[in-house]
Amino acid sequence: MTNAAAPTLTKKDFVSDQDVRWCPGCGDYSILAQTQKTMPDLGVSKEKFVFVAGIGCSSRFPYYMDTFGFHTIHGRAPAIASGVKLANPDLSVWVITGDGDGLSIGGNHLIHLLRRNLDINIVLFNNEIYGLTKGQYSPTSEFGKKTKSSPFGSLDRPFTPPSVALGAQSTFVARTVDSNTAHLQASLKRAYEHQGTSFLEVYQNCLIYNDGAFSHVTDKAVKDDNILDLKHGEPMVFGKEADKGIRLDGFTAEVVTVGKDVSADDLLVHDEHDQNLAAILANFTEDDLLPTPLGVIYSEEQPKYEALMTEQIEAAKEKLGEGDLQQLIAGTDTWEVT
Amino acid sequence: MIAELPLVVINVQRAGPSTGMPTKTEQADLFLAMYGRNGESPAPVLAPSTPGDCFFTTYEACRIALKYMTPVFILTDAFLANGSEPWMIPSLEDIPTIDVSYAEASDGHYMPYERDEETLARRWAIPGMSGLEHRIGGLEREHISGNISYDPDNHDLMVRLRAEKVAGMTREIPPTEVYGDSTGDLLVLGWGSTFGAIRTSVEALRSEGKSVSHAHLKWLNPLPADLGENLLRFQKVLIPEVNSGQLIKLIRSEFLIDAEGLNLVRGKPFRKSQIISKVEEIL
Ligand SMILES: Cc1ncc(C[n+]2csc(CCOP(=O)(O)OP(=O)(O)O)c2C)c(N)n1
Ligand code: SF4
Ligand SMILES: [Mg+2]
Repeated sequence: MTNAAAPTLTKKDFVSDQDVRWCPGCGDYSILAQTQKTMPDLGVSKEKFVFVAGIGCSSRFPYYMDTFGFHTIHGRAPAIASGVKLANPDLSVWVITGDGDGLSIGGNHLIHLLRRNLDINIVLFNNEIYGLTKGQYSPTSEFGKKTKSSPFGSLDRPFTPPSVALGAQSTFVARTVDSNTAHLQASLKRAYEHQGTSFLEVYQNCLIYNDGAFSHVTDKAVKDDNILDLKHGEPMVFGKEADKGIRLDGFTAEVVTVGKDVSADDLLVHDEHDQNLAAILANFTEDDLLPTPLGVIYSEEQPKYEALMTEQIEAAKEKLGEGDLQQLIAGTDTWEVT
Repeated sequence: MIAELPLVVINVQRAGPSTGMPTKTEQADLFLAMYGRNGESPAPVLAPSTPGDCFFTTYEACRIALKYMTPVFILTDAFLANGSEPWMIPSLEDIPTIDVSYAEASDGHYMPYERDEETLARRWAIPGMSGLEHRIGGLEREHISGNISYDPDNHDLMVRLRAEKVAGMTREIPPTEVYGDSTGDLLVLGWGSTFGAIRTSVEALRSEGKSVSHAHLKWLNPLPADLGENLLRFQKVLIPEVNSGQLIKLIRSEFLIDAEGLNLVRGKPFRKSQIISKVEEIL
């Protein structure tokens, strides 16, 4: 995918001439800016980027990137992106979706892209609400949430997107936050570098319909006590004073205070490649009084779908020879009439 | 539809609604193909008449999709899909190639909704083509630039342009063939898989001296430009369909002809005797 001859690109090369139509202050602006900033560093020539989105505020994203872009239909971006990638595996394909687009109407498409492991990067903007349609509860809205479509509180148990992705055998699962620009950029880069389908959840503030949904990880006063910044190979320490840690009691994670009875050696060490650990981390919730993991929760190397496809075609050619269309049309069960 | 990208949709119709009677045949999705979308979004609709014709119809549909940058619907049905007939395998050399032309990067900005003057097809650029980066999507596009537009006049124009593009495909349709005399008492007009049953019925009736002819439609949208004048050359028009009357509504509204229908919706193809007795009843 890298192109040595590609001219040096800058952020400006990725800014389209269209007016951005998000509400002032929406978290989407930062995600857009960080993406535009990160793309030039990937060493990919501009015409090879394709941004495919479904429907939602988040899904308007492709219009603002000066790349190939397709604002498709609700929930169907993974299907269309798969086609784009298979038609030309040399492209850098990005799926932009929301919690509604990707997990409600498009849940089915999403899981099959994840398990197939095409080298596509999925960025799911999670604002725990349907923004575009003016504030209905989404599959990530918390239980009991009162919205226009749930006046007495939602009865749905919410999805935790990384758990959904892991359940669908995703080979790369990460989480970041719109307002943490450095972390967001680094996460986009990691998602790009992963060979296979990457699933990046971005906590995104919808200040109109769900303001402050992620204040526990964005509010300066409390965030350090609530964020578990995952670093591969390092013990899980967090807290303003870096005095808290995660320890396993059987299969259950618990927060411990480092110092008195617990030393750093007792803490869980993050291993990106450990699926069981990933499953535990992905399920961390505030309700369980656990911090919110940010960073790469899981990554694993698996063959890419498009590589397997190419291999299969090559192997078939080797065995059966180059295809012959005339022969294919004739089939095996035909005969000549004289 | 609004993306104006080439796509061929093959609908092998069977008895509905819903799961209906799986594997039983029906021709009841004509209206679905014609109108089954939100907004006014006409698309070409083609129907093969025999199993062998499925090959050429599909090839033609691909050519139309690419030439006009449009989805194309093909309506076959369970009867055709499960049917067979002796078929002369075509030599690839005899099949005209389909030329695909892409937009070229020029100095100016690429305009994804700039249209060919004759066909009204927009210019196509695919990901990976340097200098042709652009965005498409489901929101209404501005004429020529392809940018999002909510302008009322632009929408009105785009609705008309998309319709005009499809209407202009009559230039692709060969003159209507009428089997039998080109004028007479009755024309039996069919589409799709009813071809065999209608043709053998008309043959039999003609051998008895009846003034009956047969025309069969491959193009259902747009209808052939010469169809109206052909229909008017007959006293009466009979339209047999395996539905409760869909083509007949199109024909009536398009040509103000008081055609009669023969409609059996039993999940079964027509039998010759059913068509013959209907013709005898009319004449
Ligand atoms: C088939 C279909 N169903 C419903 C809608 C209405 N709709 C538009 S956006 C949306 C939800 C989007 O939610 P999300 O993906 O979370 O995007 P956000 O606006 O929050 O970024 C819905 C239900 C639609 N456009 N198409
Ligand atoms: S409604 Fe919410 S998500 Fe949509 S643009 Fe406004 S702030 Fe952003
Ligand atoms: Mg949302």
